[in-house]
Amino acid sequence: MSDYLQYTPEEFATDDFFIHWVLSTDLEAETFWQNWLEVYPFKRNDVEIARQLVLVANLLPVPVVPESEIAVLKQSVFDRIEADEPTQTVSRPLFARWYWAAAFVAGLVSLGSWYFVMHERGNKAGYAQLVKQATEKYDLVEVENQTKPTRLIVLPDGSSVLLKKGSKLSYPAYFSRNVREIYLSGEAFFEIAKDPNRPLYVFANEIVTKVLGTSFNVMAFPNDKRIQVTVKTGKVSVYEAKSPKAAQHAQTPQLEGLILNPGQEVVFSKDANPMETRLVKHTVTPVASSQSGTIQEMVFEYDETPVSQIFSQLEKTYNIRIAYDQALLGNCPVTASLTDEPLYEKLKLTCRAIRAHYEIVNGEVVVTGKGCN
Amino acid sequence: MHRKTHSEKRTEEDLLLWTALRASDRNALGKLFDAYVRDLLTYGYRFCQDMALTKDAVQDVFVDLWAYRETLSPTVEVRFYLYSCLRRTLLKLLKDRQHLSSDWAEAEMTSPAEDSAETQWMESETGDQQQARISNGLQTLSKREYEVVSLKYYTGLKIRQIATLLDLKEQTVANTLQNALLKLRKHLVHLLFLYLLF
Repeated sequence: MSDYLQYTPEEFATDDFFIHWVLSTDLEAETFWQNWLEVYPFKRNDVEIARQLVLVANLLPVPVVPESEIAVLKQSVFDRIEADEPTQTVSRPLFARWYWAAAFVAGLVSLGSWYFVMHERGNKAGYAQLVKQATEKYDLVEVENQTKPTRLIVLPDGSSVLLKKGSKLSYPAYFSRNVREIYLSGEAFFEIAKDPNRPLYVFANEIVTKVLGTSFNVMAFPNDKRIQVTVKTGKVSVYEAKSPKAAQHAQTPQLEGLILNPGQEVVFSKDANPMETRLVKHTVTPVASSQSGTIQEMVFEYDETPVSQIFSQLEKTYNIRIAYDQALLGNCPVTASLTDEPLYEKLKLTCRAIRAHYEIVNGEVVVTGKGCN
Repeated sequence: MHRKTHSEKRTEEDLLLWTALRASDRNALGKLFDAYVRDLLTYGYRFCQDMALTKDAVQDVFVDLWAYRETLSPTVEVRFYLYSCLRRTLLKLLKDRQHLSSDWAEAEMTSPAEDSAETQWMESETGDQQQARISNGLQTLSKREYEVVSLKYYTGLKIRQIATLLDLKEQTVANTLQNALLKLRKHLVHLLFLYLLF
């Protein structure tokens, strides 16, 4: 190491071990260079210049690309890969097994179902079985939430999911070209990125919820006989999987079957003849306050609202931390309608409104901007 | 002698993923994407100042990686491989779009750190003022010098790899780097002061 004695500041600044020392907190490097400076104190000035050079060179600007754009980019990679391999097209034999299929969604709609299928077929359509079948088609990622009230998951298409306590969600590491299929045990709230050509199916026990882009809640715990789908925004159509039309419904991207309007709830009764399924409508009162209630009831409509208020609502709703300069940005007003957007879209649009941008750093959202004065 | 650095751990993981990718494991492709997409976008954007083009190029790189997975060499430095694919792809796309004049590589860059309309730059904590100082320092660098500095201090590639990437002699890269640093050093007085502020 004695040749370091001959080094100019520029040579230090290009030495890998030196760069490592400057940019890391490695104790070993720290010890080495501190000792070295003890022995050769006259090199202290050169070393300091070199250190500054490395820091400056390392500070070249980095462009900001939101997570949602990265997700879209990844999805396009896999879309193209699939397009190049026509043999890999997705078949959907699963649908034949569905006793109930529910789906397309609008406004606040609630759909409950008893599953009488259980007695005849055992637990065939349970989560474990679904996931097992799905692994033949997909590389699945499974996320479980055992402890937190809600856990945020971002799907490969940028959709966000709030997984409630005691629930599990499996989803492909990337979606195929024509369809987005995910598997739920328990309860979750979904905000689905719009993609009319690629419907999203949530498989939860006997219920399939089909969506093009909307927000809704699915509740299907393994030991609970009631399966409930609550829709917040968008449009819903419901149909019975057993009916001859079910397979057809599942194949088309259009809205078919029984169409429900906002503020209606559907209950499927176990005892009713499936062909005379009871439809009970009732109106859900919209929650005026944006600060209380669950995400299903919450609105994200802003009119000249200080951004600090929006961030605090997002923090509570999604159980995330948003770091930003309160003094600089906190009072920036935002006018936006974000109720129907996934979290990342909400963040992106909010940040755009205040001419800021966000990044995810160690699971925390960091917002940077210049202020709005 | 010293413990494994982050990049050494990364290299081991990369090789596992690489092997899996060659055996047609799509998950491995996804993981490589996750690990490198941001670094590649940054490098690409610095290279061409065009985010849309950079995204297209990054997409092409990963699609090709999959398409040619069976013919990939079993032993590569993955990081280096990805950067060089991206650079090649960008040059090709630039050429296709006729953004590229024949002597582009030799051209002095106009101002690498200047914001383009659609892209915002990440700012350091000290904000605009420091960024402006750094930009001033960087504007004195030639395009080649800027790229070499960016590769050396952002990508963690070795001089040898940078030389291969740019199709230059190692010595040329080393000299370019030294020159760039000498230029930066002239601006260091200001920069140093700003560092001391926080």
